[in-house]
Amino acid sequence: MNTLLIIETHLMRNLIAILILTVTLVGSGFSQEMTLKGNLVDTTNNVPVQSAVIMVIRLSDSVLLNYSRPDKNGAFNMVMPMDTVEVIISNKGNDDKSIFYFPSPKNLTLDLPDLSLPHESDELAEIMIVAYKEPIYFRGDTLVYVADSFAVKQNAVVEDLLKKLPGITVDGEGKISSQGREVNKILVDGDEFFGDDPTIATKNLGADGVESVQVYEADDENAEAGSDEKIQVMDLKLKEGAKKGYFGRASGASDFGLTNALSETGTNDFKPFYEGEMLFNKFSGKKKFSFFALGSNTPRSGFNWAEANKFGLTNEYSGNRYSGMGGGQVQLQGVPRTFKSGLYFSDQISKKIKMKFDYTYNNNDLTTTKDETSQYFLADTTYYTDDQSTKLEEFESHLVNLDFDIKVDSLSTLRVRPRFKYNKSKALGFSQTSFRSADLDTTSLTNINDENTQNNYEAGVRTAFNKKFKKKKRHLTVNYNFKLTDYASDLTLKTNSDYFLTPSLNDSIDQRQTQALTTTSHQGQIYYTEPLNEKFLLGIDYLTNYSDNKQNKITNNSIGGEYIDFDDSLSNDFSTQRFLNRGGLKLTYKKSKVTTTIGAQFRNIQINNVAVNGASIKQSFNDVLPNASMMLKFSNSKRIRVMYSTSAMQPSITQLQPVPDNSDPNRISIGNLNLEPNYTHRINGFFNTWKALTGFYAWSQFNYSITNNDFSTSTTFDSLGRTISQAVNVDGNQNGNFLFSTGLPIKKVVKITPTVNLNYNKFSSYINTSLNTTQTSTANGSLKMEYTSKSDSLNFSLGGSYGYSSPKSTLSFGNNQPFITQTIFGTFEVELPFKLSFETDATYTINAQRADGYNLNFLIINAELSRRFLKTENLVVSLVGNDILNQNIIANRTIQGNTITDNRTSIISRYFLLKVMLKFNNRRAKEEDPRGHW
Amino acid sequence: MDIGRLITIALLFLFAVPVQSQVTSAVIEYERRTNVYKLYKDVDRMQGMMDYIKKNKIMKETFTLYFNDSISVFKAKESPEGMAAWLTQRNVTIQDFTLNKRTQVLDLWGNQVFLRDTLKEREWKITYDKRMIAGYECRKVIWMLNDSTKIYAWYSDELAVSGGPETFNGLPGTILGVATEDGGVVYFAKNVEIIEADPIAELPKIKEKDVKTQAEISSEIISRFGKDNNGAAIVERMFAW
Repeated sequence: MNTLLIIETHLMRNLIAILILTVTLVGSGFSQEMTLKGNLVDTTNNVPVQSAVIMVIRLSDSVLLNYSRPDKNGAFNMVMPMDTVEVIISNKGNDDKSIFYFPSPKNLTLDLPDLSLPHESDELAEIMIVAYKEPIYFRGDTLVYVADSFAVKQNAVVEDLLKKLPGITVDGEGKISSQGREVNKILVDGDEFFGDDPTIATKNLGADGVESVQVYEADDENAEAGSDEKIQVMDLKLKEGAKKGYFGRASGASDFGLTNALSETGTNDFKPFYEGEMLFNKFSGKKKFSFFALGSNTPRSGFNWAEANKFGLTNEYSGNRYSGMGGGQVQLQGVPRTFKSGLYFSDQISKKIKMKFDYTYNNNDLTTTKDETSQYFLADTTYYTDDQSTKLEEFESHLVNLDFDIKVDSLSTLRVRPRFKYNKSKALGFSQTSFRSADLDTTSLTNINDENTQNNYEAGVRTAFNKKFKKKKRHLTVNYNFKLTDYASDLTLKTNSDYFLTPSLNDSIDQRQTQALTTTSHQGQIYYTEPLNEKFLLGIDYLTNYSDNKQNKITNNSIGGEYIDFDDSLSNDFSTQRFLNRGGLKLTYKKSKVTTTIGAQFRNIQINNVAVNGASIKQSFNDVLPNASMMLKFSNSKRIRVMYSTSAMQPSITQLQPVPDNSDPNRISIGNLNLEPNYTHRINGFFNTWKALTGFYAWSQFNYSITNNDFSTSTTFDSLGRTISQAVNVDGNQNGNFLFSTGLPIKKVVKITPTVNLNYNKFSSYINTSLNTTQTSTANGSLKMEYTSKSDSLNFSLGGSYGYSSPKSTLSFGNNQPFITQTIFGTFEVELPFKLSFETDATYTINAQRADGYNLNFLIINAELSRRFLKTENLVVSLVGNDILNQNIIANRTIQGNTITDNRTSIISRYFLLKVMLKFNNRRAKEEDPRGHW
Repeated sequence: MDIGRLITIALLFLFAVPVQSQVTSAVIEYERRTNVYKLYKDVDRMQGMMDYIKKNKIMKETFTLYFNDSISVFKAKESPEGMAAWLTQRNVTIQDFTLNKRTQVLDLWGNQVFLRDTLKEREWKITYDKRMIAGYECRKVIWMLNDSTKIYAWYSDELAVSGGPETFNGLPGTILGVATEDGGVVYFAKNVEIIEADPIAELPKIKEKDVKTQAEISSEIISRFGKDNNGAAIVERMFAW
């Protein structure tokens, strides 16, 4: 009875609303009045603000239309003819707050409850834009989007929401940019969510649980203290309602073995395709609990399963700090099976201690079939190789992260983050390599069978102590990091080589290689900043690092099936100790909009390399590492920054280790004990501007680096085309990049985004002891047009890209031919009657001027038809078609040194899935969510 | 440092805490500076006085504004002596904010003309610029007198009454500065005295039988001086403020 009544009142209200709307529309368009109301509070004292003035200014000519002062409760209420206005709230002792309001006949009331004013500071004034149902605004330097303002389709996930936010773009790989600049980290309610895999949040959390999306710039936690590196962070703030109780989603999909996925080079044993996922979140008070599990054997696994650190041995503390950020779907090579599951728990244990725990389990298989043709250019000849390989990989890992955030007192915090990781992998490989002469006659053939198992442990703890002082900007950071790793691998290698011209060289290998690598490292750092006066800030930095690496390699040849014949030349006990000390000073000068820093570090590193086979080398290096930066901040949304820095990196243990790696007997590599650290000068900068009112943005960045003593290889070719390469230092390697992208909105529904990307790369190596320098210049341009209807019921986009690559090599005799890649792409999404929706996307790729057989053009079309069920529309059944024309291939060309390689990899192409998804939460009806402080 | 000084400083801090009460009554002294040379250098009938004008290019006068939250009275503090008295106009303006009524005693070459009409309404363009005048933070606003002439004004919303010098009003606070674009005429508050002002006590004598509306006075002047000659210009100047 009650429900009936509610439905009736709803109906009545809607009818009245429609009536009023029709009457007013028939009458006169601009006789409508709008209402601005709200109340002002002082957040520090929690009392109403009476002294302020609320002014309403017409945006078209800045004319003051109305003003008001709040009553004793801080409340105000103004009614005036509908117009696009800026509301300025001005109060002595506070900065102005600006609210841009774009009313529409559907939305004639601007309600601003519990409005607080920004504190008077040298920060920029606060701006809010109510162009939609609710505002986008800057709170200090933080850009805030109120999520409910943006219409997203039913059952949308966070990624769908992000695509709707003005100034934010999500590319095909799931990489997120704000105002053209990449977002490096995603937080959920201020916390990292399952480590740094952002796609778990963006592809799984429902958009309707998000209250606001905040974007701001923060110091890079992974960079050393005192570094100027800033990263762009996006924080997804959840609704209060979503934080009380539980919500989640579960889905399953399969083709029931009905679709045939045989691709051109792939194998298919007619196993059914499946995708399944489950995400559950529960919040109560300060406790947060999440669980997820994902399993699939399609490439659409919803996360970047191919983790960067999958097979260990990536070296200590350095590494690309941006890797794994913004991850998303990497174009997957091969045929995968993945399972990933995780638990996340966080709680405020006591007033002073906040604890986070997460555990992730990963279990993947990957089968890759590869076909590769390479052309080698030598001074006096050229020859070809054909490689065909199949690799079966199994990978399993357990990762535990703990995080204790302890408030020691009101000014000090201590953060302790232990981390444990165990992974196990097994790889089986079969490959065949044939060498062909310039006349394409086959000269030799090699078969390799190998089986490699690895067991890796990692344990470490990062501790950081931060202390602020009563004096503003005085700050102390003390870090101590400890890391222990233990990698073990066991390789069985069987090879067979036949040389058709010189059969006497025919050879075979049957051996077992076991390798153990242990590293221990301790790193301590102190960073202290002292304000000299209002404008100058001095930073003092000291870092010390000690690491001990041991590599033990034992090779035994087979005698009658038993690996008992110890091979001296391929075994070694190698160790390297490094002791690094670095001290530096940095001066920062800040005056209104300009911040300038200049500094230098002095570094000494002592290296002791000991190889048991006799060789031992002690090295000591001194470096001066200067750095400087300048930032001009015109406003919250317009800034320029230029930065110069220097760095020096140590070679990895694999690059040092003096024992040959013969796992491919035709291509032997060997380390070099004499390798010295490299030294890089880097200059980079960016410019961005964003106009929130129109949605226009422009982003431009450049990077240039030159590295001396860089790590390269010296490769010698024997008469049969076999190679031995050794790590060496080379000078003058260069890398340059320029990017410009802009978003040009037209009438809020159409957006055009042109992008230009220029790259230059210069890399030297030695080929048969002569220096070979390869220079590659590439230019890429793309243009994309997107249409989004206001209600999100129809979206489409169309675009194209053109890429031109021109390689040049000093020792080249024919591989300086430029090549071109073009794509044309489009997407289409429409909301149909009967709770149906349809979406499709298509990409046409044109490869030109490559090796024969690699000039491939292909068209990939994906489509999905869904219907929503239940009153809440929380149950979705869809039919998904992937690569409907069955054309997907991976073909790419790489150029390195004197070699051009074109390769093709088997991937999953056409398949269809029937998918069922259920969303659930503890709220039965859709409730109006309370709004927080603005 | 002795105890007395310490206590004084402590007390100062105590009282320095911003008190969130609004000022609705005050006495403000404005200085008007008129560049009479700029004003008259091209006016034929003033050429006889050019020697005097060139010697005294800038004329300074002091006005006082008495206001509370319902009424304000703006008048000259004293009249200049001799020839100078002829160069500028000193009107008395009474603005009644509750009744939306403006009463003026216009000084027309020595004759008193009485005017009563509604408050003047102006379209104010708001800017983000701020400056300090007489110790108050003021926001700059712009009024387009006509298509080409801008008048700047500065008001402070710490003073809650929406009045100002001459006939200015309509802003969220009291106007403490007014200037023509070329700086020919400027008004700036020199002193703001927060007291219980008594504007009623400052009201001039009004001859009620001679009171006319602005339209009546305009048409009278134009009929007397001719539309094409000086009449229109005199009216424009007279009612600009």
